[in-house]
Amino acid sequence: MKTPMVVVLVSLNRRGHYSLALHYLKRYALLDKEIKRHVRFHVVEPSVEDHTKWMAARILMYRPAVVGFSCNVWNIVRTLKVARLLKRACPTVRIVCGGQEMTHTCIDYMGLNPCLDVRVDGEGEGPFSELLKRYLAEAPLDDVRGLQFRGSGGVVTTPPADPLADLNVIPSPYLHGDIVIRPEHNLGMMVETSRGCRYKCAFCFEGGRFPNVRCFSMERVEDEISAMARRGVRTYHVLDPILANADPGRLEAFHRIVEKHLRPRGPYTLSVEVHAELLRPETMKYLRSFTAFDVGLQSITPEALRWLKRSLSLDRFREGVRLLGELDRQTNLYLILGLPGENFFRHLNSIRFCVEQNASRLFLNHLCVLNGTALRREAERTQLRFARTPPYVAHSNYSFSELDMQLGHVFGNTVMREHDAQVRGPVFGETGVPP
Amino acid sequence: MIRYEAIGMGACCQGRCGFCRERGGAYRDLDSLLAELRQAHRPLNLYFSSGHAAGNPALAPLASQAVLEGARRLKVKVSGAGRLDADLLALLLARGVMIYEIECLGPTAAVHDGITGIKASFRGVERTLDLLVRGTARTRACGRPFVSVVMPVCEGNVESVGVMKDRMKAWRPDRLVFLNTGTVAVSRVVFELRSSISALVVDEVWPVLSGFPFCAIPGLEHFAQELYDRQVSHPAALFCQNCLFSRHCCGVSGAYLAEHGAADFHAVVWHRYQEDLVQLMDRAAPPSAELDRERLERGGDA
Repeated sequence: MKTPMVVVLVSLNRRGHYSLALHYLKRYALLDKEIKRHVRFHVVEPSVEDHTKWMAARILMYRPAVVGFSCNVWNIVRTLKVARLLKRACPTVRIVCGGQEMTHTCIDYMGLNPCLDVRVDGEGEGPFSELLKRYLAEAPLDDVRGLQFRGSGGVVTTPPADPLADLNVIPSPYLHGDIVIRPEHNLGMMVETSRGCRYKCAFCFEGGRFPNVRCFSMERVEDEISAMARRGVRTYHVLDPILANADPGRLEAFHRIVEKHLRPRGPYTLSVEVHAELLRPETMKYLRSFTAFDVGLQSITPEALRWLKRSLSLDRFREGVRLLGELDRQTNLYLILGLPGENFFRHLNSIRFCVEQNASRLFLNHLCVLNGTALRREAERTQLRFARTPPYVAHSNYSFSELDMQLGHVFGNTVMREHDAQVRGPVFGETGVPP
Repeated sequence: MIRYEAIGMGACCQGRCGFCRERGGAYRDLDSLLAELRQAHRPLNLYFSSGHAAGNPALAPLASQAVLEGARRLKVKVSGAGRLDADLLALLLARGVMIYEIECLGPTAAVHDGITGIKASFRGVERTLDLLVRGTARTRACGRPFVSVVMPVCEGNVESVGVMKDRMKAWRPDRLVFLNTGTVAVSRVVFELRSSISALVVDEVWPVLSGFPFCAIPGLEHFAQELYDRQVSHPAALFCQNCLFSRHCCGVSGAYLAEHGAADFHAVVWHRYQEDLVQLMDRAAPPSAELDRERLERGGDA
């Protein structure tokens, strides 16, 4: 019998997080009979703060033929260090990288890192599965879409892969018992209900990655939530930028799932992203199931919003936040410091607007010019200067000087502390008690 | 940036600071405070003010009632006169009083005690700040409060303004407010301030300039109190009438002009960020009736 090919999937996680992506890759690949028969998977999730050599040793312990890394802005530097170490220790190991940091990248990762054998660009399940099949058959990779790999004449780039037409074909890692939610996992169970976003905000990955929004079926979501609820999970975070603003039928279905599987088991925490301007009074009753709302405002400056390709109606936004306030849940407002089109005083104006909304918490994040985003591609037009190392923190742009950005950062921290120094209310991470 | 509704807890200060009119007096009783609380505007962001507000025994029950009535933020003025100990702080934090303001008149005991006329009052400020910022095991369990230090600038401490940054580095409050009492020439204060401001920012202590007209602080507009909050304003002087910021600036008092003249001031007719500044201050500007009331409370010369 043929010796099984060992594939180690690795994600260097931030403290309190786990990787859903690795398990999706593994479960999707295992749908193929050849892979199921001849490939043995191991998932390794060290903390990004762990020692590089220790991480490499932990991976090599499995004697892998292929190591797949999930690369994100918070782990790319350490991931490349581990990859280099692995290649030096074991030159025959094939190193495959994918994830947000590798998708639509503005950086020539293959050129700069000889240790990488393959880069997967875009949604990984399909290309990674095809890649493993070629490795098993010892066949060339030229006909696998969505890859960059080293061919005989240099780096070869294949045409982009089509995203999966139906997300439900990916087996659920939760239902297979692959993921154990531990108390230290801040977000609890990450409920992925869709991929893509109908908005194409220039600073964000999500809208640009996929042309359309695709959803997991509500039956599958119900199965996942009910399984995790039975295992005692009480904290849930919905990974879906549009669920709260989706068609009422979908939102109502989610509400029913929560009522059926979470509420009877006692207090729980359930957070979701919301576009406040799009909230409608008739769907608010379904949002009662949630305990926290993340509302990304980013800026109220029209010039900045034009660069971000976002529209904003202040009156509708106010009304949306008011409706959320009536639910008496935690509402978190988010702003970005350092956007093109803003300056210190315009940013202050955005902060003041946020403060007036009486939200539970305020998050003022420094702009990170993420790899693969439209803002990064247009950096020259906006004279955007940013750190060349992750997380690519912005330094200045045509309207926001470097000094003003530093002042804005310190001021933002101060105002966040004062804003959040509130008489105690529900705080994210603690278990909420919806009435 | 966050607007607070002030509830005076009753003057009960033994300090003899030359620029201040709050002296002696007695604390207000709980009934009168509760009556005022019931009339406060919603949403409730309350500031329990006056000399030693934290020393008023009615503070804890008042805070509890405010929380019951839906208060979002409770801020209290404390002093270095030793009336805030770990037990009281833990009690106040547990009742939701998370924002604290303390006056410090200088970086050393000689300066501070010299102005207040109270021996060891500076030691009290140090002890209180240490308690607020670092806390004890008991207070830390209730959360880290937001701490604002206010330094009223007067003749006795103007030379020390530049040295305050060193103290702040050790104390680490969240904010330091330089309050212009109008008793010293503004140009002298601003000269001292310039050496302090960047060091404070580096140490993540946000400086705020309160009571300084825009024309007197070129390059320091980022720190002007007017950007964040309502301001006590004085009637516009003649030179203010063509100023871009005449509607928003705190202006200059008649008493100041009589004593120090108008040499430090002029109309600002152009500013790089004038549109943004005006838009921002329009949003921050309070209704005039509120301003008038506050002006009277603060003993302004309107």
